[in-house]
Amino acid sequence: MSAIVQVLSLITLRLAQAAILGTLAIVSYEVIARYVFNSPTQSSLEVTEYFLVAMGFLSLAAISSAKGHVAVDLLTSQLSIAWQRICQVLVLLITAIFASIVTWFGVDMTWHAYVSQTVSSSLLSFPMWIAYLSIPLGFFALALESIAQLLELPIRESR
Amino acid sequence: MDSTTISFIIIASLFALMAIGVPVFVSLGVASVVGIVLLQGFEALSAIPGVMYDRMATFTLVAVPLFILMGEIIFVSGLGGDIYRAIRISLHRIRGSLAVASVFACAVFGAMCGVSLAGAATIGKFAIPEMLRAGYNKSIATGVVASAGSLALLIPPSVGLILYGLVAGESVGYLFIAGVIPGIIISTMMIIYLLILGYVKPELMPAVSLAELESEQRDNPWIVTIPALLLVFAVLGSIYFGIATPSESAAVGCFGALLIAAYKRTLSWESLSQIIRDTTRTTGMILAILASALVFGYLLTRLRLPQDLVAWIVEQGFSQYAVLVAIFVLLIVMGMFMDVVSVILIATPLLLPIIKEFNYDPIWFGIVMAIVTEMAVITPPVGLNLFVIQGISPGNTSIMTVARGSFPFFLILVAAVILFTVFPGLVLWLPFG
Repeated sequence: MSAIVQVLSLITLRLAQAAILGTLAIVSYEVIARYVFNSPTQSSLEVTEYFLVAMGFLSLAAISSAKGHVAVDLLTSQLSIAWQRICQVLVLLITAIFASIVTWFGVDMTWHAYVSQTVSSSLLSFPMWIAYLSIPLGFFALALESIAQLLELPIRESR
Repeated sequence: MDSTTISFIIIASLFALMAIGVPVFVSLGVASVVGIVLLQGFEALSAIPGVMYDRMATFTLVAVPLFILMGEIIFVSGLGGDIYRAIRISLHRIRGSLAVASVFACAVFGAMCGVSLAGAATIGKFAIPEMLRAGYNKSIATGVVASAGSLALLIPPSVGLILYGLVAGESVGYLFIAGVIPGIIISTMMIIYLLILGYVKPELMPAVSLAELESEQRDNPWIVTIPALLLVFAVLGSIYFGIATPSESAAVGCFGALLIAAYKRTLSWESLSQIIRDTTRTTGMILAILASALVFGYLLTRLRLPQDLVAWIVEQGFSQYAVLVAIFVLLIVMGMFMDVVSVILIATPLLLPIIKEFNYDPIWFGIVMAIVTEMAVITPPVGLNLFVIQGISPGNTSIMTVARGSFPFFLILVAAVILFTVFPGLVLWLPFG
């Protein structure tokens, strides 16, 4: 299970990184097109908004695995080891449940956009299900990541 | 269940979740889920992904990853050290020159970077050991860099101001421009404090001879500092004169930073992959909190909590200054325990309607909030800059040593908030004339 989670985490992370580089490339291209060649292309900027959503959600699992999400550990760090472990279990459980809820409704939103062939109202007519897909995919990876971390907890303890 | 009870339940569950160590974005999300279910039932949760998507997919926000990327490139290039070295040689005649140079360098670095710890870390790595070698008091040497590093939160480009602009529905360009004069005033106040301290207690900051400063490094630090200053003017100038949007100037800034890093020969596959890795991590962490905060804001609006709060305050007949003081104290207390992004994203939807009710300008409030978040990063128990400076300081430096040194600067920031409250024109003049 953990190998699958790691692969999913890595794939979504790489996609998020590609989205950042893609955004830099597109905005730079737009700057050159507008200020050097005086021919702005509005539709390219629209793509950066889809990239932005991708970098926000697809990196969720990888950041969680690197313990990179901001949390307040002021109180828990004062607790006994046993209570800290209980808090860790709760944190991972709550994260997994929240991520599953968003995944469930995210799949629903994406599926509806796919079935109804919803496209953006711009010249680009971008298929919206692709833009929405980052949300269920990112939260699904986060849910799996949290469950994997949860399953690893007792193993770490027995070592 | 009535909306007041639900409001209490969601606020209590938000803080309870954060207290047991649940990540801020999950705490905000779960509190929102609880609130939405109580208010409209389970089916209403289907709105969550839509709210996240609609409010996040905006071009304004594209500036966030790009400015973070620019800051990471500059961080890896080590440019902060060069700026510090260049300025301290120019200032060697004045007492406390190394501390004053640290403030200058942090202010310039803040104008290239949107988050506070990068400036504090990159300049502190160079400046703190040098100040300690020169015999500076440890609290002052560490406190000055921790505090001046926080200027990056106010001096544009600031990621905090972009997030505030998005949640408050205000122009990021105006917010950036409004941050310039307060940034200069606060830097000047910090420098004046150091000059007075150097005059009154010279033993805390002994003089350093020019020969000592020049003997250490052979290269001329101005060679990269001047292009860096030009880059600052290009990025901020293009926004000020309306030539480019913040996102576009951020992209130009990234290329400028890459050129400087290439000149300094700090670019390699390894450093580039570190830049991308750290940019993704910081961006993802911020956007995750933003996504959940947007859902939380959506719920607050549904509950009419901000409006009810305004009505209650008006009904009680509190004076506007009493309300402002209460708001500032609330923000400072939140900042003592939470990170800057969370403070801005949680507090803005709740407090902005109150500010508007008292006819204060939202741009002004954004700037004042940025100053309060500066206080947040230098106050224990949770002060990001204190931890960063403790981490890079040589020898055994305690958090309290850094915090003690930062305290006078905390008071300077309090004075600045009072100054800008009494004279809001200092904030609003540059953007609105």
